[in-house]
Amino acid sequence: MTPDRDDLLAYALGTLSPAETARVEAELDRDPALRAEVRTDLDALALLLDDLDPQAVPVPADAGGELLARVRAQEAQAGRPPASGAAPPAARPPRRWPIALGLVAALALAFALLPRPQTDPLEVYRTTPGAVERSLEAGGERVGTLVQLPEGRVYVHLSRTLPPERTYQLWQIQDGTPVSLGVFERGLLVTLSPGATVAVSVEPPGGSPQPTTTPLFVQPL
Amino acid sequence: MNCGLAWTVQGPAIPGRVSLRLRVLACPHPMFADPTTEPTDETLLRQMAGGDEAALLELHRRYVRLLSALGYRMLRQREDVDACVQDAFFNAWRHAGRFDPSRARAKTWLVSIAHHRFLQHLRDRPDVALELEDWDTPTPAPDHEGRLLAGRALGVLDPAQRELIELAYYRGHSHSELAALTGLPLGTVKSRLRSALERMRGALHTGKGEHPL
Repeated sequence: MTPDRDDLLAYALGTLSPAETARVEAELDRDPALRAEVRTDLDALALLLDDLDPQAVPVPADAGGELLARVRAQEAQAGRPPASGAAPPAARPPRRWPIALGLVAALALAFALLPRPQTDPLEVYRTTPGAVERSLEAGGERVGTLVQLPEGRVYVHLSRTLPPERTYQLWQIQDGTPVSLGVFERGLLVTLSPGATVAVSVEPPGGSPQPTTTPLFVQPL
Repeated sequence: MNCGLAWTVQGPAIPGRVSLRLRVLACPHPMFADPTTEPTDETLLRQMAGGDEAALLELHRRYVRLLSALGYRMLRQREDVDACVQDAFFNAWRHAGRFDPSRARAKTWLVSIAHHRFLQHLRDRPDVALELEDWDTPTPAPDHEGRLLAGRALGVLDPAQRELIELAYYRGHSHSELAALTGLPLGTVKSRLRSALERMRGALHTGKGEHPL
């Protein structure tokens, strides 16, 4: 049964029971439009944090070092080689492992935001009521599909698979300047104002602050 | 100065089409744009997925205070907050490879992990819960000078909506629990929460809040 607005809202608030959460998550896996609803709810709820004052709270002096020590201890326990990119951690014993072991249930709701095997999102967006589909072409060849959805949502889907050392990056062209909207492997859902112009380039993993290649296409909405 | 490669917007030669031309700018690094530009949160998560500890520390630097402030709002006890915040970052590290930007922004994803961790702590430790009458005037923990900024995001809500949203988000109360706490009919609780979220969603698009992208 499709969750109603109250269910989705309670899900975003984290107030559903585990059973109700599992039911909503199953529907979210199947329906990109529902996922977009939840995403917007979460963005709206995140506005609550604007009312907090982060600078007024105390933070342990070596909180980062303690976190890193815990990460490395966990990696060592798992038999993985140490990762690189940070200075050696402070020699402090990791704390609160027992608490961590009990986190699996606690994080179940949050992990609902994580990707799961799902049906083709492009097909779902195409069939969403009010969807308008456009072909995306590069050099005269179709490379993907853009689907405009109600409430300014836009789904960009590219059909070519890139090598692992490359990723797609979506840009919005604002006053002639590309502004990153995110990186993606196959498809990306964003919310844009009417009349926006988007482009996609191929970038190194993680994306680039500015485009480093000629865009595959530029598409006014 | 911009560095590397940039796009130049060309006039609309074809109606409805805009073309961009790549141009090379003076730059000591031929492949990448301005290296001094800070990576996005999404980039940090991608780097964390590849085992980059520096990316984890940078994400921690950016958000440890925000998550701690959220924790104080929900738990009010410093030691509990510190432990839960560390748990949140630890799990973000473990699951960074599963982050999907089409489902949530990186910041929202991280906040959700922390929020649910705090909620779980509240459910495990009901003794830290506040009574309803305490909730209207939040009190900072005794060991820090917490203060609430003038309600920017919550300014779009009326007092009744605000009370329900805060009780639900910060205390994790379900619809039925809210009805019992406030004495309101269940249907009224639901409709007030729906209308509150609609107003907050509207604030996303009117510049009152951070842009969802």
